[in-house]
Amino acid sequence: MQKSVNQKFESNPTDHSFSTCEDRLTIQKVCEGNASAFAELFRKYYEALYRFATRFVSDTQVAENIVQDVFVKIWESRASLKIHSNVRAYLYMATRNHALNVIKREKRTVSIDGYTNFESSLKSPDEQTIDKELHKAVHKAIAQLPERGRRVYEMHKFDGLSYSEIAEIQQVSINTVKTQMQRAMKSLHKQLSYLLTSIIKILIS
Amino acid sequence: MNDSDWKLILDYLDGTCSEEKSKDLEERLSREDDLHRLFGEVAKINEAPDREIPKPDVESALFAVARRLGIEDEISRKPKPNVRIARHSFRRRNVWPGKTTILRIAAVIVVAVGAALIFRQTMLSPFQEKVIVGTGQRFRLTLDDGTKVTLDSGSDFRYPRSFSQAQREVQLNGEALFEVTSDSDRPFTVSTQDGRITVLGTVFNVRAWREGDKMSVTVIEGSVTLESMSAQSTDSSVKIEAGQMSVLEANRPSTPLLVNVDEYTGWLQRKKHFKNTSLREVLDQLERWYGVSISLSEPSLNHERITVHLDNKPVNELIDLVCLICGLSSKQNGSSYLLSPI
Repeated sequence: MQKSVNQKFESNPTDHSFSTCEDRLTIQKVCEGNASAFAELFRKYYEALYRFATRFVSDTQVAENIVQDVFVKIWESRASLKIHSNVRAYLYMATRNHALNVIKREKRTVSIDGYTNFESSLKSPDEQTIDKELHKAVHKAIAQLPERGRRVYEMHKFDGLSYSEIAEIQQVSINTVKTQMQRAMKSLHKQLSYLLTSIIKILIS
Repeated sequence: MNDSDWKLILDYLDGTCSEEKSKDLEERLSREDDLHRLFGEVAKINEAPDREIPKPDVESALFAVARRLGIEDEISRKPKPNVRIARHSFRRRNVWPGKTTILRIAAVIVVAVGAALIFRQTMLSPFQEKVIVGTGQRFRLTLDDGTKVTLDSGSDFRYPRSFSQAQREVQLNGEALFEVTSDSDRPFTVSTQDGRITVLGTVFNVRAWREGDKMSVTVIEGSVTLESMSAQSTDSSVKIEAGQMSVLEANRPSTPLLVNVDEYTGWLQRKKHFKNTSLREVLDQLERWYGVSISLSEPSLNHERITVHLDNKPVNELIDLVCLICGLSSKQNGSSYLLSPI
C-alpha cells in the first residue's frame, strides 16, 4: 500500500473523484515544499474533511482542530510523505485516524456520537413539510445504527466516497463495506417503514 | 425481500448498476407491487440530505495553520470583504433530483423509456466558483488567465477556478466591466440569461440583469461578438467594435452604434445615465447601490419611463430627484422608502 508519489496510480473503475490527477500533481508540489500547493489542497478539502470529522466528534472546534492537525502533519512530514494512489482517501483516512486518537485521549470530554448532539443544538426548520420531517427521522435513525455501519453509510451517502475508498479508509475489505451498507439500509428501512407507509397514505389520499 | 433484491436496489440508486440490470429492475418494479413499494421507501430514505452543521471559516483556518508552520508569507490571500463566495465542487453522489414523491416514482417507472436517467445523479461541474456582490459594494477579481472583472452591486458571477484548454467561460447576472487578456487559442465567453458574448482579448461592459431591461454590451477596446442565447444560427450575431454599444431586443442584437462609453461605464464611479428607462429599473439600481428598499404606492408606476442622470450623491438626494421627475413624494422609514403621487 505504501507507494511513492511518483509512481503511476491505477485508476479505480468505481472511483468517482474527478480530481485525482490534479490532486497528485498538487501533492507532488507539496512534497517539494510548495506552500501555494499546500494552500490549494487545504482550501479544496478543508470543509469536507471538517464535515467528516464531525461524524466522530460533536464539538465543531475540536473537529476543525483535528483537520488542521492533519494538514500540519502533512506539511511537516512532506519530505518523507508517501501517499498511495488516492489523495482524497488518504486525507479522509488521516482525519479518521486522528479523530479516533483524539477520542481515545479525551474520552471524558469529547462525545463519540456526533449526531444526536447536533439535532438538539440546531434550530428546527420552520417549514413543516413532510419531507423535512422524514429527513429528521432519517437522521435520528442513522444515529441509532451500530457505529461501523453508520460510518459506512455516512461516508458513502454524504461524503460521496466510493466503496473502495471506504474500504481503504476503514481498513476492511470491499465486501465488508458492501455488507455493512446493505445492513445499514435494511435497518434504516425497518426503523422508518412505519413512517414511510403513513407518508404514502397521506400522499395518496 | 431477499438479499439480491436489496443489492439490486442499492446499486441502482447508486448509479452503479449495469444497463441490463437496470432494465430488469424497472420491469420488475412495474410488475411486482411489493418490490415497487420497497423501492419507493428506500428511495425516500436515500434522498435525505446530510444534516446541517455550521460552516467553517476556511481562510482563517488556513492562515492559522500557515502561521503554525511559519509559511504564512508564502500563501496568497483570497479576496474576502463584502462578498460571499460559494464554492460548487462535485462532492456528493446519489443526489435525488428534487422533491420526488413516491407517486411520481410510480408514474416514471411505468413509462420505462429513459426512466433510468431520472434516478441517476445530477453532476455539478467541478471547480465552479460563484461570487455574489453585496448591495452598496463593487468587487474586482482576477481570473485564472489574468482577466480582470469588476462587478457592480448585487451581481452574481460564476467562473471556474481554472479555465479549460479550449475556452474560457463565465456566467453573469448583473453588470460588470471585463478586461480580458489576449489569448488567441482560447476565446473568452460571457453567458447571461439572454445573450452570449465571445471575445479574444479586450475591454467591454456588460449590463444583463435578469429582472431588468434589455441586455447591453459596450466595448471600450478591441471587439466582441454578441449573440442571443436563443439564436438558431450565427447570422444573428453582431460584431461590436470599440466605442460601440449593442442591445439585445426581441432576441436579436441591435446594430452597434457609436456611444459615449463613459455613459455606460459610469457605474464604476456610481454615475449612471438612464434614458427612457422604466422607473422600476432605476429604483432597482438605487436599491443595489445603497442597500435600501424602495417601493411605490401604486404598482402601475413601476412601468413609467423616465430619463435621469444619477451621480455619486447621497441616496436621499437621488430619490428626491427621481420624485421630482415623476411627481411623487417619498416617505422614509429606516432604509425603506415609499414613493406615492403628490
